[in-house]
Amino acid sequence: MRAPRASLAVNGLAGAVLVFLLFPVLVVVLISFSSVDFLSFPPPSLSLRWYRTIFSNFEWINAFLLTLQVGALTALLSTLLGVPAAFALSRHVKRGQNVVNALVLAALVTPPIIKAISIYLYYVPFGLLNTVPGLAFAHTVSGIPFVVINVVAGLRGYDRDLERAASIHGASPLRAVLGITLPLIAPSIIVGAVFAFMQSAQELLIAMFVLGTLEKPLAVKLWEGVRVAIDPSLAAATTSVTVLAILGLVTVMLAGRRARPTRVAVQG
Amino acid sequence: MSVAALSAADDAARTSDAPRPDAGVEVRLERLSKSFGSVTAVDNVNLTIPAGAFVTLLGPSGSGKTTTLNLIAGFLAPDAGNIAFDGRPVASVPPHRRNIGMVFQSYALFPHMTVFDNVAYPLRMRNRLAREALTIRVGESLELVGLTKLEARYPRQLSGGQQQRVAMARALVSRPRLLLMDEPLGALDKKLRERLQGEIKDIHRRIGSTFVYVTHDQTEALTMSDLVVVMRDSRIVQVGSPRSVYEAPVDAFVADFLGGANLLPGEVMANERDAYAVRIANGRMISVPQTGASHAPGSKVLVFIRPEDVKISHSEEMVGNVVTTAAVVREVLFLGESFKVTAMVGPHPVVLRAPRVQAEGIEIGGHVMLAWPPERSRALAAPTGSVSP
Ligand SMILES: Nc1ncnc2c1ncn2[C@@H]1O[C@H](COP(=O)(O)OP(=O)(O)O)[C@@H](O)[C@H]1O
Ligand SMILES: [Mg+2]
Repeated sequence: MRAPRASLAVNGLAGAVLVFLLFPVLVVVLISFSSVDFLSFPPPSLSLRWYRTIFSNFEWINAFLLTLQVGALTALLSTLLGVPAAFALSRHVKRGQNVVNALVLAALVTPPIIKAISIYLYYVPFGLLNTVPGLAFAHTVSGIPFVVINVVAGLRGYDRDLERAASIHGASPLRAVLGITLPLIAPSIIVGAVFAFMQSAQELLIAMFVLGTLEKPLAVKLWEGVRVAIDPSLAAATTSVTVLAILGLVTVMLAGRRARPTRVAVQG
Repeated sequence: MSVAALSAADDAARTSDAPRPDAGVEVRLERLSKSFGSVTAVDNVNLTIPAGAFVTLLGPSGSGKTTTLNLIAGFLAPDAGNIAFDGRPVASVPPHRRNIGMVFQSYALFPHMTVFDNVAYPLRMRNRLAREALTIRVGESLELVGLTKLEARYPRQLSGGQQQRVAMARALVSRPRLLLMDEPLGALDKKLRERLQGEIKDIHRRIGSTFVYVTHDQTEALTMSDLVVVMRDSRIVQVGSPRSVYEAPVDAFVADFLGGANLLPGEVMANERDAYAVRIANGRMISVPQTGASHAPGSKVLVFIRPEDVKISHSEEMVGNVVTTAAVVREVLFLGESFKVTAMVGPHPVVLRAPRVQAEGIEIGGHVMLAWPPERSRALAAPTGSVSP
């Protein structure tokens, strides 16, 4: 009798917390479908006019495309650098693994403003300011840890005998890794790359420093929009970004589900 | 080579019963050692594996069998010593160029590939074959292990026994001259294990490659091997034919590990021609042949005799050249085709198998005579710290 009541209380509390966390998002989503010019909640009636507004506005479309460009390049570079780093870390670093792990994570915990300023100063002589690759390089610094952490975890659950089986049956080390190991840890790589992308898409500070005011990715555009004039088009843009994040999460979940039968087969 | 020529050659190979004389490679391990940090996994191992032989590494878990196999495969580099295939050192040859087939304990089938692609993998890596030739070779290999019609399945859709067969087919498909198997039947139930033992032995006879087989199951080692290599604590303790390691173990560990062994503590009283006179716990002097290690008079030994060599009777009369001693029955277990009798000689138990007719009238607490042919017994060095008689 007691246990169900306790679990009821726990569930109730969890639900309350969830509502508290999700309510602002819900407000924004609803406002984005508003039919009026000002922010009012709940909206008097629903329409898609603010989505038409932003998706027919060059500035918003450019911001969207820029975010996609920078994010994709960030995800690609983070993967290209992070996957070999994860292999090296989990296979060749025998002592001091904690130190190396801490170093990798340092990129995540460095205050953004410090990263932004140092990258700005560093970029001036290289002519990387105001360039898409420049911003992607900067975001890659924070993207690599996501890839490394996920791939190291993936390699930990990976049966090394599979690679040995490839190698004893004639595959060179490179072919064994490319043909057997990478396809089998692909879910971990995808998860890392998605996180690297989302990290880039939501980053504001470095983007403002590196791109200045010429080109604006979504995060910067939203920030400026809030300061200049608030109307439901901002809510529509925010909702679009949220949809992007949800798509990312769905990808991650699908990758995770693909990973499961692999692991069962490896064990059994 | 054209497809027709290739399958013609295959036909020729199949119709001639005996495998080619060079079908197997000779593997020699010289003073081989390997440590992991402070743990010594393989310690100064010397072994010659004859070309085409079925050799089993037998030992308890942690005795260094897998490490030895990984050294032969080239997955690990030895800290000291050499490995040679047909007399040629292989230290600088990476695993993928050693031309070896291997069956892993977990099978290590590629989960993202079908059965066909798993088995075709070594051919795709090693031999450049036209698609028809590849299909033929994969089919042959699957047929060899008794598995057909499952080519399109994925490993997770197969039973354990089927996965094991796919692993065998993959290891054999490129006709390696050396096949390594690490406890390949360890995960299967007893019935299937026994059937596959026979099939593996049969495949060995047909293809003639050198097989190095790792197991901790002594029955498996005895039934399958030409040569048994007994390992313990990273070292080789005995090498010999299944019969010789079973009948003439070098020490109490091997005696016990290879099957039920009676080990009666005793003391060497005298050397008489080619036999020791040993006094056992009940004061009786028995004769034990002098073979293997020599023992000085006065040294403590364990008299080794297999349960199936011990006979039991009620009377003092025992015919023929036998050693006899009195004993008291402590336990009688019905096993079906026979009885397992435990009789005490002084404080030490002797286990024996009595056929149903012999077991008539044997009851717990009864006084009986035990007898065995002396040539079936051995005097083994008593491990230090053992109980004195
Ligand atoms: N990669 C490794 N790292 C550390 N110790 C190991 C490693 N591989 C094996 N060992 C140790 O070496 C010894 C022999 O192991 P192994 O060759 O696997 O024995 P077996 O196959 O006979 O069970 C064991 O004590 C084991 O713990
Ligand atoms: Mg092992």
